[in-house]
Amino acid sequence: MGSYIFRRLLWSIPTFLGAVTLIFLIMRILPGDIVREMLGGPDAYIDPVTLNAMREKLGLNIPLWQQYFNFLGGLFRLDLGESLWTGNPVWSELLHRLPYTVTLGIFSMVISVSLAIPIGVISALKQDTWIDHGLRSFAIAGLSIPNFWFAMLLLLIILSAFRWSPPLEYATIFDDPITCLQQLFLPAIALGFRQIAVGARMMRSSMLEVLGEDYVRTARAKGLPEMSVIYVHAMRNAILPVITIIGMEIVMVVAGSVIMETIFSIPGAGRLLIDAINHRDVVMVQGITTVIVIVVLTTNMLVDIIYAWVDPRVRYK
Amino acid sequence: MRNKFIFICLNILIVLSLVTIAACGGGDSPATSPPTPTATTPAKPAVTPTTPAATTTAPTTPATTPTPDVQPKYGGILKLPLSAEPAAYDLHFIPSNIGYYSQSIFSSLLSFRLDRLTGATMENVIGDLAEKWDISADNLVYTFYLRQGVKWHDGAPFTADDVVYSIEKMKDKTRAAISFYYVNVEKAEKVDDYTVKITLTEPMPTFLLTLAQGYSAMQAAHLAGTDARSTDFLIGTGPFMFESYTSGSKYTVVRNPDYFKKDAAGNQLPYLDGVTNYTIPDRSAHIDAFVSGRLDMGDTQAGLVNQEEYDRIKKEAPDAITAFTKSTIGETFWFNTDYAPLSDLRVRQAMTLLIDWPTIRTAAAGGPEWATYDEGLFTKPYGLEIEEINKLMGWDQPMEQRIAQAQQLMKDAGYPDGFSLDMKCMAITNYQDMLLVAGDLFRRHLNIDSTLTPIAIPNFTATRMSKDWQFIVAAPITFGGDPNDLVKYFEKGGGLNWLGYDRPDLDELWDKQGTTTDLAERVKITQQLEREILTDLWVMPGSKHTMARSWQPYVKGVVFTYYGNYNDMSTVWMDQ
Repeated sequence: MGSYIFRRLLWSIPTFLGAVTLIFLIMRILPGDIVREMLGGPDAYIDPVTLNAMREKLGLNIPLWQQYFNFLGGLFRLDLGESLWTGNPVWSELLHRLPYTVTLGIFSMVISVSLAIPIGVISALKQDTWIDHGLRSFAIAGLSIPNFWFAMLLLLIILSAFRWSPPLEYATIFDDPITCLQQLFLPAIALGFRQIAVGARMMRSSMLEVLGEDYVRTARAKGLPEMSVIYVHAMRNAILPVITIIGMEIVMVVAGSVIMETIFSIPGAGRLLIDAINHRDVVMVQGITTVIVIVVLTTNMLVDIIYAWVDPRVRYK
Repeated sequence: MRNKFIFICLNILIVLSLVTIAACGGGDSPATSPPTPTATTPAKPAVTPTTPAATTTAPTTPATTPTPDVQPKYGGILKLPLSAEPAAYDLHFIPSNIGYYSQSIFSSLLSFRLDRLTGATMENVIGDLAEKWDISADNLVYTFYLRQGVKWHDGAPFTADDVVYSIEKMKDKTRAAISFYYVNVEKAEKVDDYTVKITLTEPMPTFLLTLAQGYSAMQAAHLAGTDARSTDFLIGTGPFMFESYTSGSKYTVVRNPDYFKKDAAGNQLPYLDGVTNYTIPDRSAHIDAFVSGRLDMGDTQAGLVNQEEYDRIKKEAPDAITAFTKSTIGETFWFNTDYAPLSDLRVRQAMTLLIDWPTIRTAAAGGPEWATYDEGLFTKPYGLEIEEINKLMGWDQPMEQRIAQAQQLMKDAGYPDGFSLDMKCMAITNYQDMLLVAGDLFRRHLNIDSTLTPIAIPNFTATRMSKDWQFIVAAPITFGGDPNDLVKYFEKGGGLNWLGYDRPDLDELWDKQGTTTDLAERVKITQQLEREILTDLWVMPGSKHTMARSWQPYVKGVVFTYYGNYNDMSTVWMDQ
């Protein structure tokens, strides 16, 4: 296992470098200019002298290759640079915003896992009954409805029915759990809807496969209670592919949080990314996307490790 | 088979129910009565000299604002939405949304009367940090007498040094994007701690108006060099003091207990304990938060932009107050005369004849009431009367006649079968709708086959300047509606002269209007300029959009202006 993790880590390095290089180049191709943003917007008349003075001040006049090596050098020192927009270190901006995104991600994962697995199991146990059809329809809706549309729908329904919208003051779960829940339960449901669907469908098919296995039949033949057959024998094996899927869906949660945070005005890292793009803050965008790359690479690796830990049959060479 | 059928039925039911819910929630039922926004049209000011011909002293302007009809109540935090956070806080760089963060913090040397919504004109200019001022007989030396006892929010006294520093900074291209407004300023000198003398290189009739704009903020000399991206920069003399900023979430200012203004009854301003601006990027989320009572006021930047939003407010927050006013910014169509068909005046005239702004505005905003059509390129009193503009454009005739005339012009120009036209605009829905309607009119009546390409907002200036377009919609930016703001669009070498418009005789007129201090004379020049420009028809006159803002019924004392200190909350109070 140790050597496997080591090799995975080694392979992560070129992936990581490729991703951050791509991000660096894309940010330079993007239209717009933070200096124009700072000096009156794209439509304003700015004297070239003013533009150059600001570019010089922000260090944007140095050659591209030098900017790239400065960026890479910063990464090796764990320094994501200083935001062109706010003037603060990217790390401090990100650390301020991350708790909201992490909380939203955890909320949505908790909701999705706690609903997906029972839905999948019930659907499998009640195969081809009206309960199964109902749950499968729910799952297909989760897959086919875009989450931003579902989010706006949720907001409208709650607003129309109760004249209620989420509070504008934000609090972390540790500061004020009630406010935090009020703010995040709608986006967490909207974000988790897709994960519920994906998880439930995977759980159902996996469960159906396992329920037809000989060892389950043997367990039943031995006279074990049905609950024990399902939860101890069948579910343990059926859940393995679901873990993989959930791990991969974490990436989708990260991507989805960008949209949810914008729709629900949550000051998380996803919104910070959008704001940074709008301000053409290349340093901030590089920093945030670098962190996202690290999260995705780490998550994928962790999923593989957990998979091996849950299923002793899995051996890595 | 039966099970499959049930499964399919269930799916259809779910989709149908979701669509139905969406339709019920989002799409409001038709408005019971069509709203007729009554735009606050600026009254035509009397034609009087903008600056006296001899050395005069302006009357001392009391630092008061009108007293509300009822006794205002002190206290409360006003909650507002903001769409975006600023790139920096320095008003001398005038980014579009900076004002909403910084203007309540800073004051200018002069200001505009808030009780008269008649425009950013000379007769509305009053003192702010300057109590009174003298103008020399040759209109070259302005002496300002400053209000004494004013303190910066950090406790330091406000003195002539701060004014000299601010004026010098505003005219420095490396430290201010508004330096072109101060190009005629030679120097600013301190006479004593509370007197400043500003010398101009040549007369500048708009100088007092420029000083009264919110962007001409006085900044503290002792804070020179502070990074404008840092909230440390937010030390002013305005009615509110910066308290806190939570990135991505909110920005709070609190009452300045030492603010130098009182209302007419002698009550200390401001009335509010503070103002919190919540960052809400999504437009519909602004309205959600407003109708659910989480906000005291709707969007203060763009306001309500169309009939749909207005209908929603009327339906979901029927008690809310909505006010309308006219903007000084008018969307206008521009021709690229480098393109062969458009180099022919007859083609431009033909296309112009078909333009019907109320129809175009209806398509863009949901109703003709969302714009005003009584001015051309210049605002009143500088521009031509609308009757003359309509005559120049041929818009005074019935539409059938205009169509026939347009078709004849196209035939005469050698384009009876039309041509292809490349239309471009910023990727803004309203602009795209305007061009779609115009394109449809051109296609139906003149066989012009147009394609519309929306350009990403950050790229639009570059596209415009490269002349990689044939027909665009764009709004020339004017802050108070002064003609001088349009020089850069039409003068040779002007920073935004994307047309490449080159009329040396008109350049002389532009320069002349910029230094003519007699209003009547200046109006004559600007009207001549407008007449010439519209006769050349490289640009056609547009319409000015109507701005709307909503607030809760308990919010009082709101002054909704489109000029100067456009987000002044010093007179606002809450009757709760």
